[in-house]
Amino acid sequence: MSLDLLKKEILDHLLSLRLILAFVLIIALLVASGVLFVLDYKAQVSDYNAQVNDNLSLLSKNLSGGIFQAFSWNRQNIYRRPNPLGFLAEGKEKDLPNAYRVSAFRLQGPDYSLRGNPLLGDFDALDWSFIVATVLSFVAILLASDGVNGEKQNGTLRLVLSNPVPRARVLISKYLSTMILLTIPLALGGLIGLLVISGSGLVPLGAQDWAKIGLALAVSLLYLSVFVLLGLLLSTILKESQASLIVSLLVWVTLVIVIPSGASLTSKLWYSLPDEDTVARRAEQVMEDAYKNHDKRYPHKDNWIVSGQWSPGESLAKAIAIAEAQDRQLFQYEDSKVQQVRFGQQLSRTSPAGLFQSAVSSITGSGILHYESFTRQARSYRDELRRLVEENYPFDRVYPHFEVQSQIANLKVDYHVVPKFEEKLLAVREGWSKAIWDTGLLALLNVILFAGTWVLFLKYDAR
Amino acid sequence: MLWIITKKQLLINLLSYRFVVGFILCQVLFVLATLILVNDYEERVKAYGEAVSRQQERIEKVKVYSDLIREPLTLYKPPAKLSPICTGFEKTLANQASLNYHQIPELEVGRQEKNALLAALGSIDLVTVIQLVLGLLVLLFAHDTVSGERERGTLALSLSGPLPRHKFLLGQYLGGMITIATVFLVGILLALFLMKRSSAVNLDQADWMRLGLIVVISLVYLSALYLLGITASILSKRSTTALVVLLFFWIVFIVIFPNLTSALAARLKPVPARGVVTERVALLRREFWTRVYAESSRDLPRPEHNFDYIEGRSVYSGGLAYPIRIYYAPREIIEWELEGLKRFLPIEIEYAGKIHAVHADYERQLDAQARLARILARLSPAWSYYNTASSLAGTDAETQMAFLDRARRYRNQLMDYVSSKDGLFSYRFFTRREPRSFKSTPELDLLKGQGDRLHQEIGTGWDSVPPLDLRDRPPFNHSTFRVRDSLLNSLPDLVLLVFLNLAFFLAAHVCFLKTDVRVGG
Repeated sequence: MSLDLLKKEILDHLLSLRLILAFVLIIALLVASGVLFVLDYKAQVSDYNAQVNDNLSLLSKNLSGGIFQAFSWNRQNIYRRPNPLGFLAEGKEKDLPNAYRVSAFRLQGPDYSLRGNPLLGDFDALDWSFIVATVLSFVAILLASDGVNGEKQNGTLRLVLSNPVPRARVLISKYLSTMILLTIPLALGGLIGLLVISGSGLVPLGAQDWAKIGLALAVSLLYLSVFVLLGLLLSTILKESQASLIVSLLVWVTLVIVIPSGASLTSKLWYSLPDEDTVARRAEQVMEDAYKNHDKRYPHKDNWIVSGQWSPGESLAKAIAIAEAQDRQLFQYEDSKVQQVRFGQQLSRTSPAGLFQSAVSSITGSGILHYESFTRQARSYRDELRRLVEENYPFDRVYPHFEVQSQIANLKVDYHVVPKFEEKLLAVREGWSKAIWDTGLLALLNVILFAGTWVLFLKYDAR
Repeated sequence: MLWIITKKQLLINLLSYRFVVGFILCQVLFVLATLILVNDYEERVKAYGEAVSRQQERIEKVKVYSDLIREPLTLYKPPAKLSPICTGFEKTLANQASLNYHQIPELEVGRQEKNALLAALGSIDLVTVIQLVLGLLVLLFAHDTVSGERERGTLALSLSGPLPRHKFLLGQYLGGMITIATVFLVGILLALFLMKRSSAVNLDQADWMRLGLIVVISLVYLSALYLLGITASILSKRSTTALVVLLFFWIVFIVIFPNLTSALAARLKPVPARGVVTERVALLRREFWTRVYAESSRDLPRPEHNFDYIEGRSVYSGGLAYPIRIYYAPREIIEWELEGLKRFLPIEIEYAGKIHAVHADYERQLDAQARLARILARLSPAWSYYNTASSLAGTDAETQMAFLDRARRYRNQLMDYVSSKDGLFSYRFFTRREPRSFKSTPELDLLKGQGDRLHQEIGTGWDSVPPLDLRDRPPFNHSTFRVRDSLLNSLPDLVLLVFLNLAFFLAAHVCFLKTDVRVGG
């Protein structure tokens, strides 16, 4: 009986105009997004490789000039790696910084070296998470919003319920049929898109990536289910199918479009940042204090000679103390910027669309999460370089040694000994542990909506 | 008769469920959006004021001309007064420009806000609410204007009298538009009321005119959508069919269209990565410094330095004759530095031009891509509307770029000003005293034995020097932005919107003349 009901529900929808339009649109968009991603990723990878190679040749040139050339006076350029799962969630990475300039003492930036065009306006990329979040959820609510009252108006609901079927089963088959109808174009379009992507041979998808894709698909279904249930709920509450359609559309536009786009403004409202000049002034003050403290603790006749960067003969410990003092200030400021964005994301989590986008970007490790992990790695790379300098400095680190300046100036480090920066992408487990909350909340929302619809449907007057 | 039809349609709408829900939702959105947008605007005005006064403080401390044109001088664009209505490119494009003798203001990437990372989040303004939410509401109102009446049988009834069909259609149109206009105007009045309450918002006559034009354009946009909805309603047998078609039109042409066009434009007119520009600029800078160091070590031998005779000196490096600031140094050092300055400063200014050429070339490519995206966006009335509104609000890309152009011209004016004060290739660039008034090392050696004389000769340092009087420097001119220019800029979009209205009305009219008015017809 259940199967019959399910079949009836599916057939009811199958030939409707909205389903045909939805199928065409969803599949076309998913395939187009796959093709666009392949073209885009190809360019990104070639840019990335070219930039990394440029940096390595610069490094080896600087190394021939000694450790001061390589680690104090000049900087290396390090880059964020393009995300091979960008087609799932690009996370506006094009508009986020992707590079740092790093020496053993400083981390400058963040900088931009991508193809982003500020004259284009900042729109989301046409990726899987955008298509699911906007287009599929729209279709979901469109399909479900007259599920109950529409049948009542047709008179078929009474007919169905006059049979010996429990109401719960009727409701579940309505729900399942809509979910199946949504899964078909999503799976089909997604599959063609994935075939295009993996067929291009440009994007190496490993076991980890497939796991991430699977998780993203699961979260997508959970998200769509929220809208199906919301549609069914409204269709049970409101008498006319017209009314429930209109109300659900307006609810949808608020949840999916308005709330997430209010995030950047509201985050600034509640979480304010000091201005850059104040921070820079404070950093300068702290550096000066560190400098004076060092001189007080370790008095030396040559302490007064300071070039502003660590140069032959100057105290290494002092250069490090100054750098660390500055880092504390600047890193804290950079971290508070990330916190502000996080705060905005928290606010947009009041909508299922926000929950979904944040879950998918955690799973794929894209967007602000990718930027954050890149920043963390850049900082620890700077520490690695500093350790390298310390290990290769055969003199006492605390006091200046101007008497052996020329000897120090000739210190060299072999190219092969220098660690090379290579960004590691987020592992599945890390991303999933971040996404678990969002997914849990989506699941909870599902349960609440389902319970609500169920209770109302049990008491529903089908006449 | 026309009025009766209009009134009938108006009453049907006003008493409908969708009106109540739509009206409440729109007003809530308008109020909430305005509150946070005005707050954001106040923040930006405050930040702008602070930045400008910090800049002013810095200029008041200038002691030599190198302080003025070597340190980056930053020009700030005041926040556009109508940016809460339509934010446009206000936060993403050039709203400040740094300039000095070796740097021409360039288009920078990254959001022009304190926190560039906010690019990761979405943003909203009132025009977006109108474009998306009211756009949806209009289609919800329009989809059953004709088909609904046909289904209920009232269409045949209305047309059985001596009522010409075009009058019926016009009545339906007016009735619907009055409903929409009510929702829209109440919303915009609420928004304006909230904006006026804020002390940061001071609208002058021109701003009110722009605002009025934005209101008119919004109505033109909504009317185009309404007419499209009526056409769909006439053409489809059932209201549901019309609604489905219209909803798909909405999601494709209004919601996901800009994402599609910008992705397409980026593909059709690709630009190289910005890293390439950075690399080329770094190369030019390195080339410049190599040249300077080579020349300096070849035929500008460094005079003997006795650091006891040098006070308040900032340099790039001790061995290079390229001064930044010198309070006191023996005459031969001053002359050596001056010689270096005369040779290297013109070269660095020349390199600033070369670097700008690299940036300008890149900017042209970005601009070509953006132009293509804008042309593609015209396929959607919603984006013609948004572009017109942002042009009127003074937040479009052209206005932002015009600021950058003015900043570039201002750099030339400032260089001319400094040059007219003989502050560029002369000792005035780095010191306040004539080279002849400094004593040479042998003369200073003599003074050294005479107690306090040496100390008196050298002086106490920069703290004792009064700042330069720069009050006659050229002012930076902010506003060159007129209503006429905005209208001219958005003329193609404007014409398109009006044309769409006419075309859809004509289409509706023609279809309606031929339509079967009977139930199920």
